[in-house]
Amino acid sequence: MWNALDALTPEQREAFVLKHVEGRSYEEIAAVMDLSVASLKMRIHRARHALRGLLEEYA
Amino acid sequence: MTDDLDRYLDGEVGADGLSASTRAHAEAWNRMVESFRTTAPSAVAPAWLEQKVMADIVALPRRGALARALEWLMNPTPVRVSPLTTALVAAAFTGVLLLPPGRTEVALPAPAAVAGVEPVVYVQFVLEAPGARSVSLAGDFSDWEASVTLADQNEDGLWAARVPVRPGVYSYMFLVDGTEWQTDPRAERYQDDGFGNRNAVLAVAASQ
Repeated sequence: MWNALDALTPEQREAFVLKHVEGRSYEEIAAVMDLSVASLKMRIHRARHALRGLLEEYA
Repeated sequence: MTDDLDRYLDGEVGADGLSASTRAHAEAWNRMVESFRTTAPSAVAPAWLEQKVMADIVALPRRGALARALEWLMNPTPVRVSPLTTALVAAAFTGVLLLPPGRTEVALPAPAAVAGVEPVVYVQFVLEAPGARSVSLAGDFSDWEASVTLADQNEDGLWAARVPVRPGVYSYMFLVDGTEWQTDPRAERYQDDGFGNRNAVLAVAASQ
């Protein structure tokens, strides 16, 4: 199932994994990825959007 | 992906504040994320996991499931292969068999073929199960088919099998008498299987 994340860009994957799999806070992730929290939120929003197809398997 | 769902995923609103359809999405999302958390990326994880993501997880204080998985992927883990096995494997690879004195031929036991065409490391699996009628082995290396049969050669309750496994990190369990799943009490690592049991985890390093 990890291969499903191939649909994301490398930046989106990293943001997604850190946020949702690792459970890190926006502030922690933004610091380590050298981003503003606003840009990070946008990136994670796009990752979630790209993964909505995967979601149907868990409906 | 609705804004409501985004707000829920960011913890800004609770599930109660969602419409029925958004709540269904939220629940599906939670199940999906949970399966990411319980499926440790093994050696077959995509290459990108080992790169920037892992570097950044390492940079953060150790906490999550991935960080723990990474910790064992990066730390050297002893592989349970006897020196004799290593010698036999080395002999098999070089085409040279070291024959014991007084013997003219040595029949190498045919290893159960679970790892496809490239068996590189032989791992000895042992389970102490006195009174068992059969013991087999299943793991993610065999798609959880109990395809490897252990033998109690000395009839002393010690069941063993030598299995060719490609380098990687694997979960496995023993199946006793065809019905009873047993966790290897001598495994070096364990992992929750998401159904209330613990799988044993085997890390196989590439042979030198």
